[in-house]
Amino acid sequence: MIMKNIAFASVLCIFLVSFISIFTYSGFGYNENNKVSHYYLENSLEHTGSANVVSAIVWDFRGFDTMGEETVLFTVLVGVFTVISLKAGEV
Amino acid sequence: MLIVIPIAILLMGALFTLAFRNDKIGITALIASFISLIYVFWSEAGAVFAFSGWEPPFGIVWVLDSFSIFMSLLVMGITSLIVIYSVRYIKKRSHRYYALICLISMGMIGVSLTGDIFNMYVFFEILSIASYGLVAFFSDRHALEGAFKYLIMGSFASSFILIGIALLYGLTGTLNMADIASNVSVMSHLPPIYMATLGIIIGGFCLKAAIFPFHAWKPDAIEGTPSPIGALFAATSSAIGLYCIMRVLFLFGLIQLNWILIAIGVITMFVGAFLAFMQKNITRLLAYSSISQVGYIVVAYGIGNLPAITAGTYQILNNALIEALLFMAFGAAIHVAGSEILGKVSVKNDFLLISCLIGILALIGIPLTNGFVSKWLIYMVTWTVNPILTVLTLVITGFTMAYSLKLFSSVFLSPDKKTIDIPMSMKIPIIIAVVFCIMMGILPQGGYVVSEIASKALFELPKYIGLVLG
Amino acid sequence: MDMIVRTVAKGIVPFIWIYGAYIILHGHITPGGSFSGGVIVAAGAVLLIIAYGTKGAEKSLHEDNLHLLEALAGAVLVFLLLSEMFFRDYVTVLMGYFDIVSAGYVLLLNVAGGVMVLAALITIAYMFTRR
Repeated sequence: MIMKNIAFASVLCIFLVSFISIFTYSGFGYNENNKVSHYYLENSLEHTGSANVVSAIVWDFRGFDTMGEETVLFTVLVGVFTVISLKAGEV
Repeated sequence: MLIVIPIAILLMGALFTLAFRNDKIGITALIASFISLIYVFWSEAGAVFAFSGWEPPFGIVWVLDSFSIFMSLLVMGITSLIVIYSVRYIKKRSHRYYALICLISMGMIGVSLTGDIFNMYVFFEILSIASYGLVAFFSDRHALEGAFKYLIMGSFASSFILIGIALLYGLTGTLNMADIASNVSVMSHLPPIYMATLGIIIGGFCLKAAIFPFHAWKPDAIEGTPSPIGALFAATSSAIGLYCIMRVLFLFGLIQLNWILIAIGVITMFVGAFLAFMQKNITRLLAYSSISQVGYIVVAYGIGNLPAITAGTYQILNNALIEALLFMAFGAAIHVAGSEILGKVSVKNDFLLISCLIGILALIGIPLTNGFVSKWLIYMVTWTVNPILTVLTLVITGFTMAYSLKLFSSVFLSPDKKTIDIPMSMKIPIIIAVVFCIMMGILPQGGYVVSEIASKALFELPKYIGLVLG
Repeated sequence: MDMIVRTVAKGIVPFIWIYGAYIILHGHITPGGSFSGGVIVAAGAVLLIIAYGTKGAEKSLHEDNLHLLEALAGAVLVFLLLSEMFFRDYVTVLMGYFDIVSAGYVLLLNVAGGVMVLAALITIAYMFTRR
């Protein structure tokens, strides 16, 4: 019983230490030579017509991914339908 | 421009199937999208399509590589066989079934054809969630338990993939596959952080392909599903998972001799074969055997040169056909006999006898079937690396022979048999699969040429970058 | 439910819906957009379902209508997103004529996406409360 708890705690510690060290090394944050975000910031208002750059990226530059996310929402709906809607006595 | 038509047809089919509660809309959408997919590949092979008109590093691109075309045609072909098979199999609440099949096909085509790594994750999510819904379709105890296990493990895998993609974006500054490849290829020595990211992403995709440490969801999930969905899972989910792993390795330029992949493949073969012995349930036995067959493919992909990747790709094609045939044929026997336990299912039907016999001979790798051709190629490429690998592969083939003959003799050769009859619409896909198995066993050149064209695309990274960014 | 709950719900749900529509329609200027706006509209509908029960709420939000609405919104969304590279310039000029500055294509997409989200969530709410 106590060995199982020690094993679980040690695996969790190794997991967390490795994750945090990965995130420290990789250098998140503002990167000057990131030409993609520079292009988005400059061309959002005139080419898209939207002042909100987040909306422009979500709906215009990467609109196909947003269509995929809406499809995921619809798929969740169909999945919930499949599992939940049982009438009384139906298997 | 025409690339978007199959995806749009499938999404419309799924939406309107649920709105009008009519399953004919879904079946029509699937057949129409398969035909339009073939037409798109005929007219635009090797094209690059940028969505919404934005240039490649700043927008989403879809690249029709030959490996992508091979994978998407394979999965759509297997899905068409499944749809013909399940017209008689699924009787109640069938509109939700066909909506989910439309969505899972859309996910598989999207994963294969895309050239942007976050887009691949989005379509992978569509595929995963639709498959959770399909596993839980019958809503009895086994199905819900299998679906719950698969849901939890699959969500973990999707989170890992997303974290890996976020790390990759932070390191390279772009989400386009060709741009990532060109950023990585200028570095002569990859820092360890790239290897950690690669490990995280590949670990996530290994769960979908049911490779060794992450195979535990597969038997429980396939046990509760309808037989056509078991065929779809065994044939295509490992194909899509391995496609994604190969695509990520291709971007990093690491298609070479990988001992880690070979080791994982060997352990997967052994685990699948050993656990398949001890099963008393037919669908669980077939599920473990599919895990073992995927191990062959991973070993072939671990050895990195062109003949090995060709052998692995050919094995993916043959494995899809053989597993579809086995699940459909044994599923027909189970469906009519009403039980799944070995020893309680014993049928007498000449058509099923011949088709299951051909399926089992192809699984083992007897000459004149397509399983022999791809397994012989795998023996040859493992011999060039290390003869011990060939010995291990032959040992696992022996195990495969043992448990599959046990399965066959228990179902078809036991003393008390009862005669059953199968509907015609279930016979047609089995006949198609049998004909393909025998034909590709007698004339293997066609399949070999197709696999070689598909695998050559994995070795031409500068041409890929030039095609997208140039 | 109780008469106090029913009366208060009847009175407050239109305001929730107007607020949700505001968030959807202003998605191109302020933070928000289709996902959050759709969730708020669905929350108002869930309040109606709780107050009036499933049979009472069905009089105004019937489930087949929701399925049809979602299918149509999905069709519109797919059509808009996949034909964007042809129509984007025309739509930007058109929106400039109506003095909807800084809108462009994003406004139409937000509306279509918001309708799809709210139809999906209200249907899930019906599924969970119908026993």
